[in-house]
Amino acid sequence: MKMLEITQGQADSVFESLSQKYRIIAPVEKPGEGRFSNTSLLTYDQAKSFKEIDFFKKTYFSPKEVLFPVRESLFEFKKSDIHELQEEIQPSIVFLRACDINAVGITDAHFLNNEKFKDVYYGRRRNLVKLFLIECKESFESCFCVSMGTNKSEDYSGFMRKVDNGYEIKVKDEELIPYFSQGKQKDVEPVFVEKDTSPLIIPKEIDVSLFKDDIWKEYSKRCSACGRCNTSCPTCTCFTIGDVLSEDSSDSGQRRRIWSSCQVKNFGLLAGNHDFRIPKGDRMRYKVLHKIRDFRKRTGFNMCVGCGRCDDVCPDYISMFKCIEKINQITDKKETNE
Amino acid sequence: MNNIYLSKKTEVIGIRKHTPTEWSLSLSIQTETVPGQFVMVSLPGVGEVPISVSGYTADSIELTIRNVGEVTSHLCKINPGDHLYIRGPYGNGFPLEEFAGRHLLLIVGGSAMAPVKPLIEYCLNNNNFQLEGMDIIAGFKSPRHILFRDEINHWKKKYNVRITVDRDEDYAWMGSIGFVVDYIKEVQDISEDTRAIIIGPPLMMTNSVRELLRHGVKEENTYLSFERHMKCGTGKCGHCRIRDKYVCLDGPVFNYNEVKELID
Repeated sequence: MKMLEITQGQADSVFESLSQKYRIIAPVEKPGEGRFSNTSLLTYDQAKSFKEIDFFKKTYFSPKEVLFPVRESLFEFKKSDIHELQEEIQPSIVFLRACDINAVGITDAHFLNNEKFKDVYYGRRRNLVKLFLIECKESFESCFCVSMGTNKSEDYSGFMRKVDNGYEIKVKDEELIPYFSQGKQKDVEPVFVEKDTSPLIIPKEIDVSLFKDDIWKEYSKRCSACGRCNTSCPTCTCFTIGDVLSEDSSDSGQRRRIWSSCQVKNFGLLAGNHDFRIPKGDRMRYKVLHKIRDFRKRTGFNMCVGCGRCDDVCPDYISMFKCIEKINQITDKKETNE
Repeated sequence: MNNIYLSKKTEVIGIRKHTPTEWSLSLSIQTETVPGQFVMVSLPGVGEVPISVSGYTADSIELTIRNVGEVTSHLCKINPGDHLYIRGPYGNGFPLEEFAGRHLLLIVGGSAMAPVKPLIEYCLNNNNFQLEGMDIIAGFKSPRHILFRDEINHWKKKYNVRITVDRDEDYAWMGSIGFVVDYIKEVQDISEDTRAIIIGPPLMMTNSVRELLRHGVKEENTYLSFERHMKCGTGKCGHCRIRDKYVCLDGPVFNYNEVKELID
């Protein structure tokens, strides 16, 4: 382990040498790409310098694309033969907040650690990714990581803090220590958020009677089924698979997987047109209870990390936070009655 | 790490047409299949779908396909000698050890005959797998929709088989008419020890469970097999999840107690 303080100049040369091997992916500002004209978008992308990285604001989109791309080719087919694709993947360093590091732990559990089958495509990328922790000074609006227990993480290769004249750094990963040869030795420890703006209690047990509760009806009316909550979520991992033919051929192409959303129509549609969860409120229930109950039943920990992105992005102002609060009130009332 | 999305190229060695929209393909492939499991079947360029194994030998499997979707409509144009890609078998299959020595009652709706057929054949062909007897109630839309007629005649020699049709358009059907659920009361040997297996459309399954429980079959002795949208068959794509269960991993066969509180 190495702990040190470096100047902006020293940081520039560290960046230079790291980028020989690694893509450095972090929150960066994209001018002109915001939702409204003349606004910028803060999003995950390859950074060109440490200076470019925004250490202080929360991104709109989650960093999960690094491990689980929106579209990914699984294999190629020509006539009736299939060939595995050997895609070159460059190693990367990703700058993440504690909640997002915890989110990687969750997607690891889903794709690799917790089940009988392991996903080779996720595993291949995961092996080539190192995680760098960045701090949150305080809970952002809409965040509830402390309530979800995802405000802390020790699972990082390095930690980096932006200070006035440079950076404070803690490197745990032996492979990365040689890159940090310059600088002043200094004790550096990350500080984690200890209090949510609005704390939330996560119900331990959720009775099946909640499925028929009226709280879901509101979402049937309000949700427009755009699926933004799923795409912005760092732990949503559902995908669909489809074959894409080459432009000039009717018998060669690629099989690809593409993110899919449990909030969008046809997620459960069977051949023969039998469908499940047609009311959007049922889809909301399916998603929310997966995040705070069903995943935990399989793995021992919740799937929601409390990053609040789904609340930030919803065009219909639907809030996961508020929904969990409502579930809690109903569950509480039941327990008191009993 | 083994790539779970790659399939094996297999040759189609036989085709049997049951109805204009339903037929069985035999494929040359060595698997270790348990009755009730399914495979993912691919036609590169068209797509991949989960299909129940409707029969198997040491070096072949049989799949029964109904022409209802994009991939299955292409599968119905396949000829012997053509190739299909297969991965699996997946899913748990029937808990055979639970059925040994018991009275079995199978309630089957339409093309759900496909996953049940290997179970019946397993019971018929394994001399050291003894049952207290078997009753089969299978329902089809009309006489023209009946699957596996030859096999059914063969099963009748050893088991009580009741075939019923929803309607008889041709007025040439000598057998039973009505829903499967209406014939449960006619089964003689139902006891607390009966193991019931119900497979078919969701409404038929719900009604049959209710009727079976009324006739003294125990919840813990009742089994269902589910059909859901699936893309991976391995618990990754998320489409077949119901609460904390994945139909592809934990099913498709479930004990009723496991699923009575599962709501999609």
